[in-house]
Amino acid sequence: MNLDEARQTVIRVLVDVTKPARGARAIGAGTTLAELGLRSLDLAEVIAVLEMEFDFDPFVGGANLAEVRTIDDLASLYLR
Amino acid sequence: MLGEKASDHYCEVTELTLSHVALGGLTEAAAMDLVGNAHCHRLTAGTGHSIGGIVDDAGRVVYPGYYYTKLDVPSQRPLGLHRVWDRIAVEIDVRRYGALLLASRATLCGERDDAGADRATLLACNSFYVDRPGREKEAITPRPGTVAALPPLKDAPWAHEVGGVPRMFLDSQARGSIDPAFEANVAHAASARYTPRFGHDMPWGEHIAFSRYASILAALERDYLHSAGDAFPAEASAWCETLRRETLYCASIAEESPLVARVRMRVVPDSTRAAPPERELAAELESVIDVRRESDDALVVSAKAIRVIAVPRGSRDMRERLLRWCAAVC
Repeated sequence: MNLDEARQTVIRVLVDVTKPARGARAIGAGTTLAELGLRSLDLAEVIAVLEMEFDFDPFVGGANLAEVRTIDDLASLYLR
Repeated sequence: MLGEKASDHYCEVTELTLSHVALGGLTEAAAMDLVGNAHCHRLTAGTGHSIGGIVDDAGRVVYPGYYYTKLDVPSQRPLGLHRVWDRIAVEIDVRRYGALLLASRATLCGERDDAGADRATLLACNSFYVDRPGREKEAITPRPGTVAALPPLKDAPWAHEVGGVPRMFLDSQARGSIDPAFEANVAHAASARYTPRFGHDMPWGEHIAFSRYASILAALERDYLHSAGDAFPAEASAWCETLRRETLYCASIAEESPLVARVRMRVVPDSTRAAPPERELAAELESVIDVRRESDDALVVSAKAIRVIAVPRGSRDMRERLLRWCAAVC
């Protein structure tokens, strides 16, 4: 998996889970999670669904959620 | 209290003492406390510390706060049949749902109950967070090693029961109720007030515990029924049993600030539920209660419940008055 593929999966899950008013086309590599206005439970659910999509959870392995600002920050955690 | 870890299930047996139930029987709140204790022990089993030892990378205490519970109790085995000095077995299966969420399913039964007997169950969902006074709770991942290794939710046979809960929670919060479309058929005073008190509802300087809301909600239901006037036999409240309560915990309360509850209640006609031993079913009630903080109108708790009033055999007068009240409502 490359970053492009990981980013597409992250955006798809974000849209599926949170149904943002701006839609998927307005979300890109540099969009920040803060811009999306995610509530804490939104983000928690997104991460739970991403674990099922990628079959592993980088946060269980020690990745730091506080360091994740953008879509690509999040997507890059799922590259292995 | 004894604990053991067997596969994915953790079991604790607890004697119901005066500290749990005073001179009475098991209440919703006491049952939820027993499950909460087992949950805390399971989360930290093998880590060498207790729940306060779960921290983030910065060393801040990370709390596994409840945002959803669903209690189910068999109608013929209400919680109150478990009396002081009885021994209760709590078996709990705690799963992780991503790095920030937990889901669990617990069963409660008397230590000597038949293996095949129906049991009370409590489904619960938690999220890891640190408190930020005056701001939204911050979702945070605990430092690896501070939480026991937990199996993933997707492998649990009961996963389908909680998979949609985070979305349901957020939708309900946005709509202001766990069930905005619920239609009541008991029509009178639609709101009630409750002011939590330090030393009673919560310790000084601390939040109300999730389990305490079961007592507050039951008190609101009782007040609501009693406000119906003479038609409802007030003494029947002593025989009210909870069969189901689904609760969303939306905000925490750590002040003696008035709460305002919108109560909607429905009498279920012709209920055929089994009654506990030596009791007769007189009424089945469904309710939805949305509790808001009066100061800022924030939704605190939203809950949906099924309760029955099962009076002792021989209390013919009380049962007949209840049946008349139900018939008048329906």
